[in-house]
Amino acid sequence: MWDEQFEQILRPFLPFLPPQEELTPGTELKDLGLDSLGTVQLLGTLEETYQVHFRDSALTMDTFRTAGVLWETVESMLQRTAG
Amino acid sequence: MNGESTAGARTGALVHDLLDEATAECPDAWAVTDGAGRWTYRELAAHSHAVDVWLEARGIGHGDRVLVQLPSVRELVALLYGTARRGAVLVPVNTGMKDYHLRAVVENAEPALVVVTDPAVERITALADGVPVLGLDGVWREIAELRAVEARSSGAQVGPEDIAVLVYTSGSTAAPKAVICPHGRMVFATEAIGLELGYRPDDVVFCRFPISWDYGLYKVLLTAAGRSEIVLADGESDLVLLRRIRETGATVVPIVPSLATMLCALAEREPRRESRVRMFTNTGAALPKSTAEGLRAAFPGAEVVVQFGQTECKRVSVLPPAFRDAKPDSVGRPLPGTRAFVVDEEGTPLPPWETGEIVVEGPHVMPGYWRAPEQTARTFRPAPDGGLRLHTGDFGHVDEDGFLYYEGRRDDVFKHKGVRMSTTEIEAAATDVPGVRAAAVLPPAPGRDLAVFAAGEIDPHVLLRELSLRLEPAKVPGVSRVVDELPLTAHGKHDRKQLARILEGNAP
Repeated sequence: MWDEQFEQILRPFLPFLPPQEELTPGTELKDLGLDSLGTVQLLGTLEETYQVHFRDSALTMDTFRTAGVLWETVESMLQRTAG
Repeated sequence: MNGESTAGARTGALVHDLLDEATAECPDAWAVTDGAGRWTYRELAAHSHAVDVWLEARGIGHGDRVLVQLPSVRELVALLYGTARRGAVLVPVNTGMKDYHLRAVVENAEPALVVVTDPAVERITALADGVPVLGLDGVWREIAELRAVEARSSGAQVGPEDIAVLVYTSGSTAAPKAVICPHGRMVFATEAIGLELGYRPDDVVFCRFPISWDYGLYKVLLTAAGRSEIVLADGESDLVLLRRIRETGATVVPIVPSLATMLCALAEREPRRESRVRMFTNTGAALPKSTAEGLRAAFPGAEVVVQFGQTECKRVSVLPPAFRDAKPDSVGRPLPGTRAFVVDEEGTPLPPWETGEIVVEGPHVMPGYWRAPEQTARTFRPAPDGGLRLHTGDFGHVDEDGFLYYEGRRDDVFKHKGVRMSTTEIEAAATDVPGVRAAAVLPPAPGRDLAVFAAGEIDPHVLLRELSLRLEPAKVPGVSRVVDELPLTAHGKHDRKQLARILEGNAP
């Protein structure tokens, strides 16, 4: 599961998700209100916070489809940086 | 007031003439590119003939409506021109349009045929009440076969007054209504805009907007008139928008402010690289100065052209770059061969700098709304000198050179993310949500996002989610508040000043 920071970054981009409701890894982020502009801004925020750079091949809507997939992508970049 | 000659903008030409003339002049030039491939003008024209034949075989004839809900793909461009050839009427609806509105559109347009993406066939069939609903894959297999044998229809009688397209748009009513777009007026608007923007044969126009929206629709026609190429892009490529713009060699990029914001955000995370972009054309709302500067920094040498208009006449005015510094706050001058000025409540023209309603006259003013005589009579009124005078509902003034300045509206209509909408339609959708007793909508303002207020038993986030099931994405507010009672004015209307105060008081 993701770290606390990830969820803190993500939630403001999900206007349809009540604060008291759990963010589940498999829910479509689009259904929670993530739009195109939000996706681009989220990308920038994640890169800045985690000091990573999404490769062009990861820049697809699939990467941003669910919180689970997105965290996996971020985590794999963090591991690459650490290793 | 217009120094430009109007010799180029015709009133008697047909939509598919634009394609046929481009094909005759430069058959092997690229016409249209999408995520899957590319066609030359010759190939596009051949496909449009195949569409014509296919429609004829299905019994589609003069004036029949063909409703399509399809993404921005080459096939849709061929359907546009092929339907025009047939003398039939294309009704392109936004892929984001939900059943809640689509049902009303189908009822109003009464299509003879509906074409949608294959996964949507079942859902649309259920609401289309006996009208044949076909999936694009199967339709296209048949059209490709007809194209392979260079099929031609028996021909159709089409005139400039015949309707080519119905463009559904939002207004002051809860349900969408359609602007009637005849061939002659569409071509006139296209060519008049072309005179101001100057699309060239070496231009590649990057179109991120759906063809169901007149902004995207006219880009198709403008590129044909300019012998240019159009690149169709959809939301799937937004994260690689910059790369796509470079890869496709785009020279012209139509924007709305929210798309420009996205481009600037993407540009920030990438080192500056070469691009061929020479011009951004903006519409929908004024571009914030910081965004315009961000674009110019990310795309050195590119101009940002201001435009102003509405579907009812396609475009009111364009501010050519040469006037940017002299008239920085203007939304431009009327299209060549047209008039736009300001009148008082009696319809009397006002002198420069006096505020009134902006009205428009000329061969680009459309004849009215489809099957909505009362709204048509209110908006499209007889002009004193003959023809129609479009009452835009936009208020502003002109200067002594005839340039327009937009100030705002006095009704429930506003624009959000470049798209026109009304508080009425969002309030109607909100009160349709179970648990909502009453709803009020506050249009966006500088420093304040579009907001919905509801009285009832519902979570504010759930309200937004429910709205997203009923409205296309641009119409879903960014802010949601649930209150005990909605504040009302002494006249019993929504007290929007009080709503704004609630928002400011609760703002984080």
